[in-house]
Amino acid sequence: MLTPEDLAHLCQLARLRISEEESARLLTDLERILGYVESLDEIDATASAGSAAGSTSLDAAVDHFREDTLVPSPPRSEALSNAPQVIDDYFAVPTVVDYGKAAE
Amino acid sequence: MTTDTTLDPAMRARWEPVIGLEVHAQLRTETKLFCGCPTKFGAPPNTQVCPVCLGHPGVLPVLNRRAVELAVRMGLATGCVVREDSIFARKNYFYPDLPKNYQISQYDRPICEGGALTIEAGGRTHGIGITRIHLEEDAGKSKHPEQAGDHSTRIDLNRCGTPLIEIVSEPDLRSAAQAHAYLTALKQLLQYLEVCDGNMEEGSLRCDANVSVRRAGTTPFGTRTELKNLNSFRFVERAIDFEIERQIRRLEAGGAVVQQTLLWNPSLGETRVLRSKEDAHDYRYFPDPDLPPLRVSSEWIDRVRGELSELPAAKRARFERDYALSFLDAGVLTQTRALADYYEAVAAGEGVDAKSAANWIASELLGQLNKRGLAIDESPVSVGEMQSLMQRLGERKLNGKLGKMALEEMIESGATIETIVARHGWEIVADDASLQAMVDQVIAASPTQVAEYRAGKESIYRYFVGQVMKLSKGQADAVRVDELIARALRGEP
Amino acid sequence: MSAPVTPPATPPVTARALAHAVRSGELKAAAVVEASFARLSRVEPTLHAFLSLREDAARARADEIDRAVAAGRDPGPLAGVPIAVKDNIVDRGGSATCASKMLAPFVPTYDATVVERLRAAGAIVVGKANLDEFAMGSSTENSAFGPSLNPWDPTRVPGGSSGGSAVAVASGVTPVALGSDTGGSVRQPGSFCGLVALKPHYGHVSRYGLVAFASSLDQIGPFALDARDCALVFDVISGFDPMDSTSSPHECRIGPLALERPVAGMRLGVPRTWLTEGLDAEVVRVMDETECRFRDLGVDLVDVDLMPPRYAISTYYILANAEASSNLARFDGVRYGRRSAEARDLNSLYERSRGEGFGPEVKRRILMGTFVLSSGYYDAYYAKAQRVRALFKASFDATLNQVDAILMPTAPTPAFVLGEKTEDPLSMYLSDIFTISANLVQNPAVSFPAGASTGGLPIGMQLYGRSRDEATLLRLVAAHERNYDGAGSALAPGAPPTRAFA
Repeated sequence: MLTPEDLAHLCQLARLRISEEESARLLTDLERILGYVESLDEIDATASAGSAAGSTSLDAAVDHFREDTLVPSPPRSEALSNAPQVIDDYFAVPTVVDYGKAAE
Repeated sequence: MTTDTTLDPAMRARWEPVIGLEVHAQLRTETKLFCGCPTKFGAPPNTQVCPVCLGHPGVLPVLNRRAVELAVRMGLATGCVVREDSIFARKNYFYPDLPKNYQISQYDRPICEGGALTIEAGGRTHGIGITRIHLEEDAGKSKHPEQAGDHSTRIDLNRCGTPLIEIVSEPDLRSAAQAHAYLTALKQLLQYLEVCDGNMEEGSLRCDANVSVRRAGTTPFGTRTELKNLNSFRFVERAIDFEIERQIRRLEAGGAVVQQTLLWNPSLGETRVLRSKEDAHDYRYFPDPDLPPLRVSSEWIDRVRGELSELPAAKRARFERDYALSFLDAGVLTQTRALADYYEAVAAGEGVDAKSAANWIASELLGQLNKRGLAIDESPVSVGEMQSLMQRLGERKLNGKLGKMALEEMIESGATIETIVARHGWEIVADDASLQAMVDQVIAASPTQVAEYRAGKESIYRYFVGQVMKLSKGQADAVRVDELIARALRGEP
Repeated sequence: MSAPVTPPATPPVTARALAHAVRSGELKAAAVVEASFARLSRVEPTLHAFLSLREDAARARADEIDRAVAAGRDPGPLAGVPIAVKDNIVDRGGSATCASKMLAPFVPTYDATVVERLRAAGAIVVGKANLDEFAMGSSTENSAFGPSLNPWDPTRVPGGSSGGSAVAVASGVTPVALGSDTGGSVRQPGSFCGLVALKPHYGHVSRYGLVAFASSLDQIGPFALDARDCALVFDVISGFDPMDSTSSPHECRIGPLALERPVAGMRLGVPRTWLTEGLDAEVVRVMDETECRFRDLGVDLVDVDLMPPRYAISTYYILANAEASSNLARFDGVRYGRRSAEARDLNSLYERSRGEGFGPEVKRRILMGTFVLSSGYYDAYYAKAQRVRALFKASFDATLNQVDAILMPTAPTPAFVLGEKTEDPLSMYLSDIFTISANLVQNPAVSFPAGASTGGLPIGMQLYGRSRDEATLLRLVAAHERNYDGAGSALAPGAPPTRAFA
């Protein structure tokens, strides 16, 4: 049973701001979907080889490396071209600094 | 709040500190872990980035083979088991210097596990366990506002994607001094292996500490705090000491240690809260579906093991044995591989005395270089020139004093020893005829002193030597002079 | 909105016929591109297949190709062929909106590998096609810029999430298109629009430049009018890519001859237990007709067993949403994309930009994905789903040891009406019931036109292939085409039915 607090926590983890209205709808929808996927409880998968190595291990993994050779970086103008805010060649965001209190 | 009173030793003795260090080392690769951008330090902001390390839509990571090789090297050098199959995992959290808002790291199956490092502290050696070593990508840098009225944090993503290994120690350290020794040994090993240049000022070596205390003689661990922002060896030691004392005071006063992440503030000399357990991240680790499991074959591991250069401890022991050096001197000369290699090359020269070379390099050369802020690999005195100097000293064509002067000039001007000796005419006078003449001259000119000597004042002997050296402008062969003076004073012809 | 769409003046021409004509100099690429844009301007106001066009670039490229041909150079196997590309695939200087407000302002600074390969083969991208936002959906109704409409009946959805790409081909604007398939997003719109639509074996087509939804499930796939065109495009876009660590080094080109081989003596498996509930009666009928056609071709049909599909849905939605929640974390308004005007501090920058930028379906999936990865739930959901996924793979491989391919419908119904499934997300998910397993087990699968409803809506059938074996699938589809009168196929002359086209 997903509570509004659970949903709020998930929204915090995912950095999603939702309205009251969205919250109510989401709770119902998520309940339904999570209820449906509970069907997996019916399966005993203990013997399965999956999970340990992740999704792409379904087929034998192939070694795939890059050599340590330089690929020239694109010009800075390109790197910054989509930035919503640039200050002095840096990406800029509203400040995050918060030097907190002394240890308790 | 700072405290001026040091902890009462009796109080301190009731508690045992338990410390573990997590060290992040930037690998010495040309390019980043998952893309071909350069890793050089100090470039103008956002000039070493591409769509991959910028986390653009649609990009994918491709693993740098050399980074794996360096991680394996460090793992083998610390006696770890290198896993033939390890997994990259996503560590999910939001931060502006982390473009994908997840870091590609390793979680459940790191590439190396179960090693150890031997350290010396307090006159004893200790084996410190290494829990694991894993590969991960670095984040960018945030510049926070420094002036009132400025409300923007500036992000430079050059560093983003640089390959790191994270080396996690067991909580086997028992003091700030031991932590310092561990960090020193780790840095030395990383430099020896050419895995990392170990520069804490530039951030290629970073350290976090986990600190707790428990009543002396007990086993269960106390609650620990995590210390961050320890960006010099000094800070590591001071911060750990501060935190140990803070915890002890708290516990002695009947309080409890709160599990927190603390930031070391060097100007205040104290730790401050960064975040509490409640704010602790849920990183939601899961295997990165963009990367297949990392396979390191046993052949690959064997090859790296075979290519492993001699490690510092082994080299030190060998220097003691083969070059008849003291433990201390061998230690100085094996501090860095560059220095050790330099010394060995010099000592291999024909006519070079190994012990003498050790002294000259360890004190004279290093001293002169340090004065000028030069590292051994920036030494204007080449191996060949150093050998030349040692040979001349050995053949007594130069004496100690002139040798020091010559060395200083070699460093200053970069000129060869031959040029310098010729320029100053510093060849040692060694032919008996000239020497005898000078001895005779001095003896003849010093009847009083001769009489005093013959009367039993042995300390006046030095006067004659000094006078001959002065006469020869310091270029007389001191050993032969000594013999000739002794004969003259004995009255032998 | 329900005004029917006029069919093209001449029957649609295949990509290979166009390329042949351009390479031989018979036809100018410039003329082909103009015809494409002319057709587009007629149908686009009704059907809304495209989010942006590439008129200048397309015309310039066409001129280049014509000059190359005149100079005696070969511009490639898709010379002059207009193509629509789903707008979750980046094209440099163009767009990758993913049909989302979040990425509306973004201008890509690199090309996806498939776009580079198309260009090198002479194909001409005429525009970026509409989709469900971030490829999450089965109808294009989740697009932030309005849905695309089915050319066979514009009151109905074209399917999704690659609906725009399917519409571009089915309405005669381009003979081929690229979409992406994570749980059926190429095959299901293929079925709803009367096209051949292929999901390649995972790793055969590079994902570099495909905005990731679920990394272990996504594959780019072609839409075409027939099997041979489909194989042609697949051969151009497939193959190892050093920029994608999940890219397969296996040789997977099909080539023209493979499709000519007869299919007599091959065996098709039918998972009867999958076909008992929820199937539209017309789909059942078309399934029977398809089985008959294959028998006429000398193919054996046998009943086979597979793990129940409801488990596939559950497994899929846990894994796909988990991966998506992480893949979409990068969209935060910091370095690119839409930043909220209300951002006062870092946290509100994230929360508002993402809250405003993402639609409801995307938020649903991100939150569910966050949940199944979160502390305390990982084992019960994510880890469990991984294990079940491996069981599915074993189940399919075991069956595919006995047969050459598995036959089943692509979707439980023909194209549904706009708005029919938008109230209940779960019902939308269940429309993927037949397609989703192919992504889980990573095998190739194809949807092909096999009939039409009495109302004239296309009904596609689906073949699941052995690991890495696209060739056998398209060979079976090519054989089926030889034995088929073309009802419900966008290629057949005289089709589509009159209700859709005036």
